[in-house]
Amino acid sequence: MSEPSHNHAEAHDRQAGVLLPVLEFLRRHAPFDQMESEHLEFLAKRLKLTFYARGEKITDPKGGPASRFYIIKQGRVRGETPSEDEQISGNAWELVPGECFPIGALLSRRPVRTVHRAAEDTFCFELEREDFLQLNKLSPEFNDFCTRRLASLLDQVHRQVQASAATTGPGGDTSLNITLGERLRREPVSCLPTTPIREALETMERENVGSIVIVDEHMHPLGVFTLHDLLSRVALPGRGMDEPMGEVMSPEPITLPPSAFAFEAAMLMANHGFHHVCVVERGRLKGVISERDLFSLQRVGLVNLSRAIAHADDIPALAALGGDIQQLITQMIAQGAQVAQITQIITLLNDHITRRIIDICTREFPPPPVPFTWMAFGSEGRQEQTLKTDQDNGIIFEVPEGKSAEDIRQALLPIARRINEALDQCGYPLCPGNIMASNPECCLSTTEWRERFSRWVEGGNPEHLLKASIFFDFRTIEGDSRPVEALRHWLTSKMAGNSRFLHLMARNALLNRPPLGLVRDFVVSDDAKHPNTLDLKLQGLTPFVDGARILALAHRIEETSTLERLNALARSQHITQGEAQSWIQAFSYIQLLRMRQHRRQQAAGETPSNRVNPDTLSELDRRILKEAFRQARKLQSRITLDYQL
Amino acid sequence: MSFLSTLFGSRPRLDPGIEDRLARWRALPEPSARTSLDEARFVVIDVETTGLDLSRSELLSVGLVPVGPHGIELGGLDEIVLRREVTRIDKDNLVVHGISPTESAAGVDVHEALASVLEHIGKSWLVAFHADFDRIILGRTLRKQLGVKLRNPFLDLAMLLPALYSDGTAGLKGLDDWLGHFAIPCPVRHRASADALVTAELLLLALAEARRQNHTELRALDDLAQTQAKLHLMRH
Repeated sequence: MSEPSHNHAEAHDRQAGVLLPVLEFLRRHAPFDQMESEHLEFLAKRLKLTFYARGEKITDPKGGPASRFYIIKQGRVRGETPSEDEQISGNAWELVPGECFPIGALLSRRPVRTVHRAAEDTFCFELEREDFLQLNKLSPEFNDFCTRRLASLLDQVHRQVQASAATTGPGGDTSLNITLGERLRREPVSCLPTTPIREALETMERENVGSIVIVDEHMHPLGVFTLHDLLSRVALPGRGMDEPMGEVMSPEPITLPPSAFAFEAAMLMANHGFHHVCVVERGRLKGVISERDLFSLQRVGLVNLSRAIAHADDIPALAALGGDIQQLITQMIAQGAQVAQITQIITLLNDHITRRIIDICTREFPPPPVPFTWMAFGSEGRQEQTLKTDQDNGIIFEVPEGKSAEDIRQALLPIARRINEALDQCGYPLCPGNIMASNPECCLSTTEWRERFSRWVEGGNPEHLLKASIFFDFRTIEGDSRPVEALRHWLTSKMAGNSRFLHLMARNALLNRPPLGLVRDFVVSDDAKHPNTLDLKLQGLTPFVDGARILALAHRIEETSTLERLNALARSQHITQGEAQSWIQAFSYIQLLRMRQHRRQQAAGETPSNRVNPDTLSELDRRILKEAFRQARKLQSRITLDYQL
Repeated sequence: MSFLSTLFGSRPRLDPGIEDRLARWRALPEPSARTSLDEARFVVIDVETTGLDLSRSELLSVGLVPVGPHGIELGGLDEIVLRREVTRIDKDNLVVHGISPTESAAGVDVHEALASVLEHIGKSWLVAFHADFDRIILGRTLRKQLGVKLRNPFLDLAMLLPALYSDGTAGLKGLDDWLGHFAIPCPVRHRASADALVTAELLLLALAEARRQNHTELRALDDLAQTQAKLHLMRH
């Protein structure tokens, strides 16, 4: 009896031996690298190896429920999601060796949503659906890979749904992404302007609300009254309880339609310092959204923070608010707010603080000879600041008849220096490259800025290109914006007529390649200081920032933010909607990854760094990051084509 | 006894169990050249021998890879090492085939091994790179050891590939050249099963290209390979 079992064992070893090349391949890729040998052998034995010539379809939504699981062994597979909107070309992305598809369709017995096509001659390992399900039962690691909510969507990683799901932190409350209509919880509590204060207060007490909307007989909102107003407008001035509500309400409430996003309400509240927004449809009040409804989990309120900034009397008071901003941002990241929203809020608060600083500092000096405009450059100019960014700023002024630019500059420089120092105190470190308004080269008249920019455009040496990449993203922070708009306009025309400089910028931008290996993996640094890492900012974000800037300058687009530039390029049909969406998602994802890392490092008391070791990322993040880099490569190929590089 | 039976060409004496298995193999239907490419089954083989000399080399192991209508069936992958007592170690060839004397000594009994090989290949079309070598060695060993005449048709990829891919492939000769040409990585060369596996990958490429060129039957591939072989002979 020992003979057959001996044979069996021998056959087993032999089989494991011959499958070695397959097992070795699988062990190099997730999730197979996590799986037990036994389960891996189960898989390997059931695989078929097939070949698809370039262009051949592998999966097709029209092919009925998905019947096979594919692991790419060699080659590249292009996935395309057909778009329902004919105007928008569907999303496309590429899969490389080691990657698998489809998963969701197999688990849910539905047809695939994606056409997978061999982008080059491709070998795939294939597993029948029955075996795929069996393996899911056998191997907890494989099952985990396939059924985690996010992982099951891996093959559609490019999609918006997924990008937002992936960014959702614990307790993921994407409250800012829903419409106000969806957010409304109850009928509005309202009264007429003639209603006596006593009656209105009784209604508020009965309905257990903190605010009441004053409406006319057509339910059109006229004003808002909150319990907060009770002290300052009723009790302290000693008003009688029989006086009408119209006398004590805050008139002209801010209103939004139900279709507006919660985020818009948050931005409006922060801008105006109101705690409530009336939701109005066709002139009729539908409900009230309070700040509390939007930021239910937050301890630090956006509105209070904006108000605190506006009312801070001196620099130390402003500096004390820096911690609150950090906390607000941390909460927003934890709540799964979108990157664009987070950066917009950082920008908004930074702008508030900067304006307040300029106001406070300017008053310490005698009035300047002419009004000046404060500009931001670099990431601040692009409205892409994360928590801690160095200052990049400058001043632009007009020279009146009979005065010299130099005299004005000398008068402005001390003010500028004071502002730069105050910004430093408030957590915006001085610029090591001295791109600051207190540098005489950054405190220029309208004419001088044009001359300076012209020198770079005509010169085009590496230093000029570097400066252009910082300064050309200028934006007004405080003061009259017209000189800045005029400068923007002038630059746009100058650039559109100067293909040589654009060509140089393009060539320069392409020197910075996304860190993707030829075969599959990331290219990481072998430098001893940061071994096995890549730079999320320089290698991840910069290709998008540079690419969007070049395309924007070439097509007379005056936006300075990367996302706005991409949107504007799509609107003017210089890129497709699909490209814009993919690039925006990729850029935002890298930005989010970077902010998450900074937040973690700060919590651990470390200095925030842009370097990340891809091996420390979750499998999902690694895949999305890789896809994001591939999108950067696509944007670069577009530039390569445009400038024939 | 065995050397006498070889000398007189009489049939070797076999265990009844083996005889039964051979009978079952003989009874299998013969393959047809009219089979459509979409339904064809192949077994890709690769033999490792004691040397490169056709007349004297002995079979050490056979790598087998079944290829069905849906591709290479990895579960059917096998490598059968024949048991042999090695008296003299030929170091040069040890480098080529990598089968150590210990491995050979631990192999499967020769009759048992060859019966397994026959069960694996059935009456399928056999595919190999430089197929003459595999055909002659395997054929001779089967005849000598089991008295079986191997009549399975062979398809030689060394001939079929240049017939299908004529552009820029003139310089490609050995298996490594063709693997390099298609960028097919081969982690372990010169193990019968690993060689057979990469050869099978080349077969998949050839089948795809044949379909693209509108060939529909096995016969067409055979004709292509035969013509190429004649051309090859004329040139050399």
